[in-house]
Amino acid sequence: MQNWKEIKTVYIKEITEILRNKRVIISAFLIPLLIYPIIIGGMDWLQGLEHKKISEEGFRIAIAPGHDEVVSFLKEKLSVPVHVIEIADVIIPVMSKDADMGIQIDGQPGTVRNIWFLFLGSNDSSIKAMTQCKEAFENNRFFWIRNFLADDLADIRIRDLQPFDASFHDVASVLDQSGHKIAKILPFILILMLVSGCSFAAVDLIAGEKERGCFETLLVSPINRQSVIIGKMLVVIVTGFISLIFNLISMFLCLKLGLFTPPDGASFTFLISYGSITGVFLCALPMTIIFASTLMLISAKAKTYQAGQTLLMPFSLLALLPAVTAMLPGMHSDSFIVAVPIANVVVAMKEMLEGTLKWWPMVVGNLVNLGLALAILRITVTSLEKEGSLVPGSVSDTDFSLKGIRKDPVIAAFTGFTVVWLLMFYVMAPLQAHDMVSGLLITLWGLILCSAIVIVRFQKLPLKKTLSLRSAPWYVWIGAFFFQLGVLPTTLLINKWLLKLLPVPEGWMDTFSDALTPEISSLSLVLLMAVSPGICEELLFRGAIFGSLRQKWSPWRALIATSILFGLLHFSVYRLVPTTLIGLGLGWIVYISGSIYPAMLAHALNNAIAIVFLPELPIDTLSQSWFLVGIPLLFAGAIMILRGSKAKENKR
Amino acid sequence: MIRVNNLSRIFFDSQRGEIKAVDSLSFTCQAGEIMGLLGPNGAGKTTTLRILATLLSPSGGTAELNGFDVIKEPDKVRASLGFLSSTTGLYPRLTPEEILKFFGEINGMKGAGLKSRIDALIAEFNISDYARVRCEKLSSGMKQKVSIARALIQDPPVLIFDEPTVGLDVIAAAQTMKAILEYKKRGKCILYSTHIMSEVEKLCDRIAIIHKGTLQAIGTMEELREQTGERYLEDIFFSLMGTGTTFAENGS
Ligand SMILES: Nc1ncnc2c1ncn2[C@@H]1O[C@H](COP(=O)(O)OP(=O)(O)O)[C@@H](O)[C@H]1O
Ligand SMILES: [Mg+2]
Repeated sequence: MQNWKEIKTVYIKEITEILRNKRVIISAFLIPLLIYPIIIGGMDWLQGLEHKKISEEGFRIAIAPGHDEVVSFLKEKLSVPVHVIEIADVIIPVMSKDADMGIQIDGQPGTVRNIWFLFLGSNDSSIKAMTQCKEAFENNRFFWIRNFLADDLADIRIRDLQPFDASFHDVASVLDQSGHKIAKILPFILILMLVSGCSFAAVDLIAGEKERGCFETLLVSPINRQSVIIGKMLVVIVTGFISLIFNLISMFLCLKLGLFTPPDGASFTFLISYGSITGVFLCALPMTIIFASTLMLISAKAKTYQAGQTLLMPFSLLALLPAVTAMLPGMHSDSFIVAVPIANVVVAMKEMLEGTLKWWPMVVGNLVNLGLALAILRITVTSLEKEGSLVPGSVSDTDFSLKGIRKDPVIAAFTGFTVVWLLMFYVMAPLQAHDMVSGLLITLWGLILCSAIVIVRFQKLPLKKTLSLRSAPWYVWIGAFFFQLGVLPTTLLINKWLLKLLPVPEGWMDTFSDALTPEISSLSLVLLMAVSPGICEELLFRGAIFGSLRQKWSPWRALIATSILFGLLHFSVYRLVPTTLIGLGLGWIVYISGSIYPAMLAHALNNAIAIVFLPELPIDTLSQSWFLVGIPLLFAGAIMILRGSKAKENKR
Repeated sequence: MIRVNNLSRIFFDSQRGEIKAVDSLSFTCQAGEIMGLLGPNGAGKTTTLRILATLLSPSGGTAELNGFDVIKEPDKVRASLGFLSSTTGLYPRLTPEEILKFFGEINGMKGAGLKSRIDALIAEFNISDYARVRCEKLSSGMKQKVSIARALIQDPPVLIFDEPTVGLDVIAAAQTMKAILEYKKRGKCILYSTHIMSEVEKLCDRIAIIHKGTLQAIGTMEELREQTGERYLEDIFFSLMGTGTTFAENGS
């Protein structure tokens, strides 16, 4: 096929050039080779140092004079030298760090005595001393009992007092123990390495070539644009891939061959099995494709190499987010996380290194990632094929000056939203916490309503038309009512399902329902929390923001963006999806009927039901049958609203 | 060879709104002829040439190159075209030889045919001394020679030059113009855009003067003199611009 020949030509040229780029060599190959020896060797060395220091220097323990039996006990039981500082007030040397720990003993021999271990929680060696002393005392409780009892009675009494002789052994293999430690850092390093490995190539091959004017010559040559992009993309992927291999080689040398042998008696070793290395490799492969194609897509937005790098910075940080999420305690690969790209294989890698991985999450996770990788690959190819992405000088920079905002409805809408969001967070939320009722009133009728008007007036758009302030026939109102009744069970069901995936922290629901039931009558409650948001939030979202976005974007794109912003304003991960869905429904009503009023009714209805009925109704009892009632209502409502859209067209 | 008919291109810019970069432009250019596009900065020259080179799509009108329509048969247009502009660059980490080979392969050449073509170009443009040195180390004159050789690799019938002498010293600029004249003699159809009048006078058989995207006048030097009643190109230019600023009294 001609195309493959073209791709090969581009590929060979690009790989030759990229391999001559010092920055790529350093970031993709050299740093991965060095980072593991530095990190693992460094950690080895530090721990070895500390171990050596403690075993040589021992602990300095302050104790009041006259407790010889305790001093000799510590000297016998602690594995490191003990230096005793005799002083009446033991806290003084501990505070001044002249002693690692202080021991204070109250009471007379023969009575139950209090023993105080004073240590500095802010000081590592103090904590170490405390831990070892604690262990010594707990493990040797019966040493003291024996001291008080007559020898002949000791065995019987001790047997009564100590039905079990407990001891603890870590039976995890050295491999799994070490995997547990590696798993804590490996995903972060790997993701950082992959992103930085791909990003230089991605920026250089697109933004860099645009800047140097090389793209122009390529595009006026008789070569398929797709071939150019695929050829370049392959190079970025291969660079990422080589970077990955160098990562693994370096890791392998450090961990498997034991280039760093831990010092004797140290409590750790880093080891890794062949299986785990292979697994890490397989997990990282689709990840590499995701990063490579995303980075290329982003860098195409830049005109110059510099601009490209600036654009990629936030992405590199963002790419770490899934790794952070996946490291949260209690994440298991056989849960919903399997559907979250990147996070899924991070958890899988962790479990693999710890030796607890089941095979299916690994397979499914990798399939999910591969699917996403191919999707992004496709998006990148099609989007780069467009005129604006490649032809030099065709990308116009986004203009954030006041004049620019005024002229661009999309920027105006997003800037307006950002300002509202920030004010909500920093001003309105504290106000509401101070006093719920007045805080809400100021938020809704002050901030939200005014910002809706400001966003429209600032752009000099017609107020009535942009906000869809026009009457709707009676059946649209009724349609909106039933539509919202139908939407409710659906969103509740989705919410219930989501809450299973993303468990709500203890107490979160309580604060929410407390806030919902202040000491006011239910009528004022409905006015405050249903009618007011219905009017004001609709004017801002379905009015000003949707109205602005529609100036430039297709209705559906505007609708989806508006709904996501609507979801974001509710400041909660748990409410994001349901509110976005509700927003989508409300936006649809406005879009179809051309009027905002029925959507206000629907919004108010939704909130009213949530306030009045839902507290009585535990979410857990919600069943699928609700859903069945909801669907016909939803359709009936939708049909009536659609009839309104016909009426709207007939009027013209 | 080149036939431009009623060509328009509109850009949208968030600050300036709608920009008519090219507005109902029509002209032709034959084989063995150098057609000059003369106009001040922002006249729409680059946009016109980019449409002809299939880099941009027109908003209206048609353009044909070597008998192929730029929209319907872009691949054939590109195959018939050598394109060089002041902004086209070379790959800094490749050598001239590698660059020529790459563009040759892209144009579907290969094997011994490609090799002898590269050797011929290297000999013709005196590149052999630095044919294996990475381009980042070359002077701007050397780079220009490589760029011209690159544009000629598949021996295309049509050549488009967009202000090729910008940023070059006098010697490199003169060499560039000499090469262009040489290729005219070999029967190429050449479109040459610039804002420098002396270049147009030296090089071009016919001249199209554009301003704000529209064609102000077109013809040979003689025809333009007749149209405007002015003798020197500079005067012709200003009289067509309608600015009336004639600084050219002391001209040659
Ligand atoms: N990608 C673009 N987006 C917006 N405006 C553009 C773009 N490219 C060119 N223009 C505008 O079109 C006009 C013609 O530009 P150009 O063809 O580069 O002129 P010339 O090459 O004659 O100096 C100028 O006003 C320029 O600002
Ligand atoms: Mg130009």
